Amino acid sequence: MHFPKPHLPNPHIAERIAHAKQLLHIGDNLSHLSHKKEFEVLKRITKMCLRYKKYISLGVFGVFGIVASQLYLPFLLGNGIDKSIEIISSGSSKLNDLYIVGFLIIITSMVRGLFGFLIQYYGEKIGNNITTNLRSNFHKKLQSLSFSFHDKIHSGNLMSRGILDIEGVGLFVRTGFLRTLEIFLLMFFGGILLVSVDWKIGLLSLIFIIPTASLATTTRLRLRKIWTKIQQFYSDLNTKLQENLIGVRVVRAFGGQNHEIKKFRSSHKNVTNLTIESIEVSALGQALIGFFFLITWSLIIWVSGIQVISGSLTLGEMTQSLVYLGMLQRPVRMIGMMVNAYARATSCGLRLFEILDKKPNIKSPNEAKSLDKIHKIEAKNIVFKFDHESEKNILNKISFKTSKNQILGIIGPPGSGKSSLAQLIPRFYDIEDGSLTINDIDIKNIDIIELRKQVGIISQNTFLFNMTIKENISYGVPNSEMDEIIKCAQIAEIHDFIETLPEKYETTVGEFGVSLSGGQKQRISIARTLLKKPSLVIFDDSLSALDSITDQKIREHLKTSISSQITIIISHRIDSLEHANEIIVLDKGKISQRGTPSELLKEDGIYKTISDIQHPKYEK
Amino acid sequence: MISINKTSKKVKKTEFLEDNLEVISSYDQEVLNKFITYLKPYKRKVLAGLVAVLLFAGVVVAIPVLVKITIDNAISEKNSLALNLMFVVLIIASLIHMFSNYFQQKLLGKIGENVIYDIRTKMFNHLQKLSMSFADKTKYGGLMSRVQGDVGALQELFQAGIHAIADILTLICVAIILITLNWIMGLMILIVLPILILVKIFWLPMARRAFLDASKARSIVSGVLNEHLNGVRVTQSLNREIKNQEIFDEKIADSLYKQDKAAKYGSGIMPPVETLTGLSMAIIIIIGGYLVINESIEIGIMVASLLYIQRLFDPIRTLTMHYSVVQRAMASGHRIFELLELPIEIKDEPNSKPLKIEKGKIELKNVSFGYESNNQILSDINLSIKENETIGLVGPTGSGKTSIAALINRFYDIWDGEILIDNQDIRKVSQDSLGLNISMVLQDPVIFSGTVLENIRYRTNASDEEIIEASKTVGADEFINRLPDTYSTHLYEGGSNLSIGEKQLISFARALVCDSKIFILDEATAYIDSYTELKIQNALNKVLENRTGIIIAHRLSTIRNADKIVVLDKGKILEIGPHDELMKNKGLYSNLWAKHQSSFDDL
Repeated sequence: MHFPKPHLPNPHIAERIAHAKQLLHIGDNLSHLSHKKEFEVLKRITKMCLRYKKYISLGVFGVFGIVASQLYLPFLLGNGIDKSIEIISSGSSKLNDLYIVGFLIIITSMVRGLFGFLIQYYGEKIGNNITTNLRSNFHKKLQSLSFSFHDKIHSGNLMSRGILDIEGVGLFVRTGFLRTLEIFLLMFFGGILLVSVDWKIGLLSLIFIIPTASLATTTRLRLRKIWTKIQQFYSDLNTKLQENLIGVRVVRAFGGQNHEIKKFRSSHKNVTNLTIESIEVSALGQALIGFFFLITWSLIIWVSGIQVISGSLTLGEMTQSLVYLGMLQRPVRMIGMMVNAYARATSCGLRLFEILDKKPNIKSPNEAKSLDKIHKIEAKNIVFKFDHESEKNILNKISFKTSKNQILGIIGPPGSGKSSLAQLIPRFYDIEDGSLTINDIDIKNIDIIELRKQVGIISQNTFLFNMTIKENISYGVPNSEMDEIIKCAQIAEIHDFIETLPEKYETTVGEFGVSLSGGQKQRISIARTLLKKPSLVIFDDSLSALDSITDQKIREHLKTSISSQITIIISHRIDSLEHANEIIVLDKGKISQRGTPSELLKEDGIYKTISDIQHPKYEK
Repeated sequence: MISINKTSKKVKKTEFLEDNLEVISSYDQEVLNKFITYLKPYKRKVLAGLVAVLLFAGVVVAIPVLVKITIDNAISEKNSLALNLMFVVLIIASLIHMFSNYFQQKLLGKIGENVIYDIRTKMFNHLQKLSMSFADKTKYGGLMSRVQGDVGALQELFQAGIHAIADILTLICVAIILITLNWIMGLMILIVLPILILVKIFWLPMARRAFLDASKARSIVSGVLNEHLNGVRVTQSLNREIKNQEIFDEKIADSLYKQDKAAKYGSGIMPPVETLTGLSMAIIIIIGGYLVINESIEIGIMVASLLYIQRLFDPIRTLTMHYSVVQRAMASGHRIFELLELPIEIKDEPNSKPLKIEKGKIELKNVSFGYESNNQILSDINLSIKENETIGLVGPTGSGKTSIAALINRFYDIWDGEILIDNQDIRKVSQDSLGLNISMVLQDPVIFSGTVLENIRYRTNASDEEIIEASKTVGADEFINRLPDTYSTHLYEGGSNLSIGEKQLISFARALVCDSKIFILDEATAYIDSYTELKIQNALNKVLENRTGIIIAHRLSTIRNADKIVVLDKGKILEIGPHDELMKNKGLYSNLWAKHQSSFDDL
């Protein structure tokens, strides 16, 4: 009998609720992205870039070089024109000066090309390094985040972050980072030079800079909002597509094709419309920036034309300032693209950092205790729920205790909480209340890697990787000896089947290889778990998915081949539990019956009912 | 009794996708032609877009001419009035520039997005029509990358293409203008272009290789990320995180190496292009200067030529930048059209009518079938199921019981014989009407992301009350009520917050809500414990009272109460009749019961 103990609020509960809320809202509306956040994202991206000091310095060197040669060239060209005029007015026919100017132009262009190479190459190199780095961190994070995270965020969503969002950041770093510097420098020095040719002309060019800057800002804001939405809808589209392809049989069986097409279309329309909107906004920005530029250009021609007519400016000087402005034309065109890339990168970056900053809510404590073989496991009044805010408990006050060489059986209808109970033991989820101890140590104080080394759980959802059977079995212990692998395959009753395959253990399974039946996959996953020699094995409805003969054989092998371990068998097949030292019958998250198989058979209850159904007797 | 699953063996030539990037050539006229056919619905918009592009290219080219006129005819002549006039003309040109620039981008962008939408929608629709045998052997990962990645690459092409069209037009106009300004100088400048072609001949093949390698390495990285993500639960329970990280890091290191190499080729083209730009500028200065001195040209022509030179090389520069995009898009286009052109094996006959069901009678006459031509699964099956009758199909693994269910739904076409529903040959009725009139519960339950309600409702318009009613009938109501938000609980990816048994109950309710006259259960209770199954069975008896039912099971207790039990073995009907009759027959069926065996797998 368990006495109800007063419900004490868990000290971490507030924190956990906050975490749960955070999880639920992930990927939700991000359009309220503030300037501060945007700046932070930019700062982080910049920081990452700065890590590549060598590339950055070479790239920046390239930028200065290109700006210098870019600005020197108009001077040369203006010079060439002035020289020609000079020659005409002096009446000589010496062309030497022109040759020198021509030669200098070729050299300058060559140098400009080399600097251009530096900018583009090192820009891409930094971008490639950053995306590589982000991918690695993203992967690492996904591997470490706990089940509750993966439950809630669709893999389609995560994939679109891992691929498209990283690409978005990369694109900006690759093309935008050094180029932005280039644009600024060109504008700055170009402005100074224009002023030095003639201050009035120089000031006129400000007409261009001011509206362009403000336009770039507003366009950026609008685009960022659109991009954030595009990314969300794209994730949604990804998810729908993936589910349609996985669920193809259901779609066909229900004649759901039109329903699926409708679902897909609505998501797709959203993406298309938003992309069109982004094109429109960006086109408007670019067109206006181009317009401001041309207006300035026309004004300069007009004003300097008046000056030339009045004689206060030479034609060569005028050409020079026109060419200076012409040199700015390409950067000006690039501003528009840059703004778009920047807007995309900040919203992509935000989505990425959101994942990268997630802390796994299940991790080893600071002073974790190590764990040898498990010889005892005890649960006292365990309470568990998937959602901390929910009032509904998945498990309610579950207690059990089992030790070395014992078998614990768990049975119960769907939704009774069997699988949830199993997943608490390797700490895939944390309990809400009560205590769970292994070898008398609280599970939360045990080093999580050591815990999971000792606990082998074979889930009812089998997942095999696109590798050979051998690699799949040795998934957890990659460098296993072949005879070890074969031994585990034999225990799992799959060795004989593997031997019939054309390439035996080297046969590839999964998406690009042989398809296996559910039972065959299940047995490979049993072998895979046994190979790591866990001292506690949990069969989470994985034996009952096999036919009863194989089930029985596997249980026989387990008894003889692997000793000194605890076995927990969750099953809906009575026979699987025949050797259990204790069986707990779960119903609606509570223990409704417990005892040995023979004791339970004598009681009226779920257990006996199930047994009667499974062992039918022929009656007339 | 263990065998490789059927799916592995059936590879037919007709519906097969190859995953090979190598075979695709860089420039594929065919791909381009096919792509252009998708522009047809937007003829008028394309026309308008092209007008805008032409206008834009025209005004871009015209501005230096205007500058030349201003210099030569106004400023050099010291004519203030002409200068003011030219100023106004320039302002007008700027306005045209703005509007044409905006509209060319907007129109072409819109067309591009619409074409992308059309192509992707068509791909999706096509995927819905392809036969089950295609779905069996083509795994979703590859399809995902076609519908998402490849269409995305095409989208990039379109966006790059907008600029490319304007660039090419500008290039041509500039070349023409340079020659008209002064043909000697113009030709001298254009001599530079063939040198550029020479560079490209040496550079292109190497660059192409590098670009393709890089994009292949990138897709490998995506594949590994996807697999590690899907298998994350296994990885965590087997402590494989570190090893996986090593594998992934190795792949991204390789991808980094290849991308850097591609970058080298991509940027390597810059110095020669720039040098050539310089060369042509020098030509203008020297030749132009010479001509000016000899007074055969005016200074304005020289200035204008210098301005045009920038315009001539800008497009060349951007074209090289877009080159890798075009490369990738060609390969992607190839893969997209390959998918779109897969023949549909199971088609509706012309003028097929929807299936009309009154009684729900099903007849199989001399049906034989196999998934591949050398492996017959069913031979000469004759079976007739009367109105409101329930039959149980039992037999060992591989006996063909699941195939029968699939055939009634016309997932596959039979080799021989015919299948009739209410005297209508299922090959002569429209396919979607079959799915709409037959409810089926499959062994592997599928959960879509969405709420419990949405999952059960699926394609129907069932009210919430009807859904709750159906859930109660199948006994799902109990666990649904224990979910955090009961029927509004959002189910995670693949129903990861549910057990298989619970998922099966949901798909059971989903089938019930469809309210069809024919009800097929294909090993639908395999993962459900016997206790719950008993509850379902009681419900089922009620549900099947006025429906035609087919129950496929390997557990004997499941089909015991069926009106008729069909025992299948090796694709043939071994025994047929009600439970009591079969027990008297002393055949395979009664044998199993006598041994207290609960299922055929125990043979």
